[in-house]
Amino acid sequence: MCGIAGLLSTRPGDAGPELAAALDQALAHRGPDDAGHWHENGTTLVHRRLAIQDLSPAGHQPMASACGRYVLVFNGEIYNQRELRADLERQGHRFRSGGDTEVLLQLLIRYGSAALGRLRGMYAYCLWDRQERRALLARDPYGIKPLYIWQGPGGELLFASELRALLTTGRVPRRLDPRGLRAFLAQGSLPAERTLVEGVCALPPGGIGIWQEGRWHTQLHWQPSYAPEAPLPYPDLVAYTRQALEASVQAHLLADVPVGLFLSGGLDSAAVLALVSRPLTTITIGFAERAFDESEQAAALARHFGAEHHVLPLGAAEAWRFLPGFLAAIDQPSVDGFNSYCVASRAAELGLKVVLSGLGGDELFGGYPSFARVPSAWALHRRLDPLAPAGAAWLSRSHRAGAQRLAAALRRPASIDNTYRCLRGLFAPAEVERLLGHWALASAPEHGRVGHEPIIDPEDQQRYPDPSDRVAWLESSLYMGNQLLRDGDAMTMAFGLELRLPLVDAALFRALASQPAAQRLATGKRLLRDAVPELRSVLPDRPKQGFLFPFQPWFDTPGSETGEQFLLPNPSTPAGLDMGPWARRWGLMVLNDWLQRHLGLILPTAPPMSARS
Amino acid sequence: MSRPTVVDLLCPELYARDGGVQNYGRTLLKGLLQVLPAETRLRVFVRNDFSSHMPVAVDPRLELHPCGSRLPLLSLLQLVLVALMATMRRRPALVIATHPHLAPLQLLLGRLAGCPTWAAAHGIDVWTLRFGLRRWALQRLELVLPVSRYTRDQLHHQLGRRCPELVVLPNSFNQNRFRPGPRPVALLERYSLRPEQPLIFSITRLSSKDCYKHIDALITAMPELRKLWPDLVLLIGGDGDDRPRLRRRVQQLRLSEAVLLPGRIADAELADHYRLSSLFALPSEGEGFGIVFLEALGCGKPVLAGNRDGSVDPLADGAFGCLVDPRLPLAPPLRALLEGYGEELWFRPEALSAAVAERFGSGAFLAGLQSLLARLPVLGVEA
Repeated sequence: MCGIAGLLSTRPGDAGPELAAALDQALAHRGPDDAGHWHENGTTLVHRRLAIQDLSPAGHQPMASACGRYVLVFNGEIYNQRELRADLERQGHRFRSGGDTEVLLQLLIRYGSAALGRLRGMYAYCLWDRQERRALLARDPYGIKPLYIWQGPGGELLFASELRALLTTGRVPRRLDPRGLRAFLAQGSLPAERTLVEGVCALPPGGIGIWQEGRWHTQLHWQPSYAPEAPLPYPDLVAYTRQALEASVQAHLLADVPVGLFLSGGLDSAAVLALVSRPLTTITIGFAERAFDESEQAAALARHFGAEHHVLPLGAAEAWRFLPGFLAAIDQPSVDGFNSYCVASRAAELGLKVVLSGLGGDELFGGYPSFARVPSAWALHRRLDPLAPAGAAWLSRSHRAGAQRLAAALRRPASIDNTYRCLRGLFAPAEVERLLGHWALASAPEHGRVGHEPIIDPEDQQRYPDPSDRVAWLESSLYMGNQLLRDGDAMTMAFGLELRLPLVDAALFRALASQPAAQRLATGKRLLRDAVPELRSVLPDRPKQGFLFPFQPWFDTPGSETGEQFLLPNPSTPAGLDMGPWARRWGLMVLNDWLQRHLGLILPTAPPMSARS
Repeated sequence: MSRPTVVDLLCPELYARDGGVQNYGRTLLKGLLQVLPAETRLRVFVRNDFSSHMPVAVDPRLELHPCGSRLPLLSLLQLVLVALMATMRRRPALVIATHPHLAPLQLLLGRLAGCPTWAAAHGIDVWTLRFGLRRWALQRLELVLPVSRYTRDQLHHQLGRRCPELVVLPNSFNQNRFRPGPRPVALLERYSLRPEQPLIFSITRLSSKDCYKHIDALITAMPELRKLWPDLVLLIGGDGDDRPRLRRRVQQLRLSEAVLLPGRIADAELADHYRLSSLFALPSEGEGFGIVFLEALGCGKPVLAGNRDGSVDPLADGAFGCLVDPRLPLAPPLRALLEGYGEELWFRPEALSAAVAERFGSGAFLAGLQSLLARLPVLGVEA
């Protein structure tokens, strides 16, 4: 886990030490252990290292191949590096270091882009071929590791692990992308293909980018498929799932530094704890609000499995003190991430460099209410399709957030994708337009329905045989991919901490995705529960909670302390817009801060939040 | 003087058509004649073949019984009657079937003769054996010979706890016919290709039931690949009810000049088609084994295959060619192969051909068969 950046240009004098220094400084928090730059004829590669495997200087990057033709900067972890190393050694290669960077370098040299199919891990990298003057950039299947791209007017390509790093170079105009803004307001996070900065986008998850002589094109090297294979009888499926989970958890323990675990007290992180074969340091958050507090449950789990357990007690007052640091750590705004920031700060205090998390379990095993709600709502929409316009008109008379989103869904064709976005969205499209009008940004061109690009080809029945499979991928790519993974990376890297996700793993996905949805996504994550039976005695069967923060009571309870003393004033909103849900208030607060901090853009402000609630 | 030992071989088809099972049957027949002692007789009962399909000159130890009829049920009835009468006449020391569908008859013959029963298992024939007479009979055979580890694992899964002993006997190929060679001029002309024009070759049955072969994915990879090789051609050999749909797909993607669907490739021209190609690709996820991979490798071509099925065996777990997850986009690995990335052996035609011949040629098949037959002392085969 590190930070990478670089410039690829056809002009030999284009890359100077100032550019490298700016990128290096912007990414310094991601890699406190080492720094390296490489320059040649218009090409600059920058690396900040957080040493996790092979802590010696042999893992220094940018790393050049023995022949000198290739240079690599890499951010991430290759969990199957030992198997890959053994294969390459059998073919006669002799390694100089014990880390995964050299393995990745050799694998790419030998197999080219076909090497990606052999990797188990999270990664973003740039391989520069000096002979061909060609760069190969790639991201892991889920996009756990970020990689942002900006292409200049001369064809030059600037890339970095963080969007903010690109802005510090002075080359990227600090201009708002109105399509990004619309998408943020609709979903509460930025879509994979867009940012709030015009011209800057992310390389898609599971994507490859090739740059040569100013030409840049991308393609995918990974895509999901839930197409069925021979279904296993349930007892066999449970054993098979157990085996696949164990393999993933064991793979994610590969490190030469201590490994911890974010333990929420829920099923997913508890399953990871149960499957780890060695004592861990576990960290959880405790709340005074009993309905949100799982710290006792987490402590009981830690005791049961012999973990060294730590609790971060958090009331509203303590939480708000984290806000300035949190806002400064945000790379792209979303309505989430605060929980990750708080718990990561505690992990860093404990001296940890790697933490595991149970993130991804809900997407893989059907833990969200959306797995039941979305297919039901979609089926209802299809049945009542002729009445949909009338229903939409009736619902839109209410100013309530839920009614507005439901009305928007009824106005669109009945599809799983549309229904999902309606239930998971932040503001309905009509509300987005009202907000933009209120902020005098309504003239921004819409450029199509940004934020509503179909994630799943509706014709692709083969890859998604069951409606629940579609929900599973929407949860994985939209909510998890655009929000949880992005926040998880930025918030942990703010403390030089590597976040590892054994349940967000392409090999685990491949093992389980072809089993029938009815069993894989059974209510209450039954398959996961049955696959880890040692949790039965210590973890009661109750609805999911996770690291949920009591934002709503913190915002709403009269007299409770709020973070206004730490916050920018919230942007003003049009009269009648339902700002009750905490996610709306939080989202606008984060957005306002980000726009001002990074683009110098100030939205019209509103009276303090408590005065309006 | 003692009567010679007899071995019975049951086949659904042998000479009537060309296909994986027919090829396997002919290879097994030839192998048995080579491995069994000179005095052992071999009786062959073929369900679908007619007398006209039978070769004119045959080994004197061989007794051929074609049972084909215009009515399929009558063929089966004839096969049962002919095999039963032969068994009553002379009890065999072993009954082997080249296909698991014949297991019920085979079991009956074995019980009557009091001899062991062995059956080959290929692929799709054993993917769904949950219930019925065939499964019941297969569970009661002495030995089943899956052609790959994948087929073996599927059999284990399908037959459950009563699974008989399973020993993998891999397919083989004609290493003398499938050899490296220059691009044939006649085919270059037929397909209007320049001598150096890159070409990906694939061959399979084009059935609407076989979407697991991912032929569509090969076609959809072409626009990406043609950005780098504008004159790249994909040639998909084979026929079936899915060919019209694939043609329409090709037209939709405006790839009519780049993707050729010539239909069935004559057996006599098959080796030349491999030689015409830059690489061979069949990214399937339901192959029991895939003899076509051996043939392409025998012709010294780099090969791309799926890593979810029996294809991993002919590719020797990736030592002979590039294994990929066929559900993932194919453009990146195809591009890598076209650019020459991969293991050295994949791009040394003579060495690749020799390596695959050593592992899967007739010598390897005979050695495997010999060690199996040596289990039965009555046959007099030495290990």
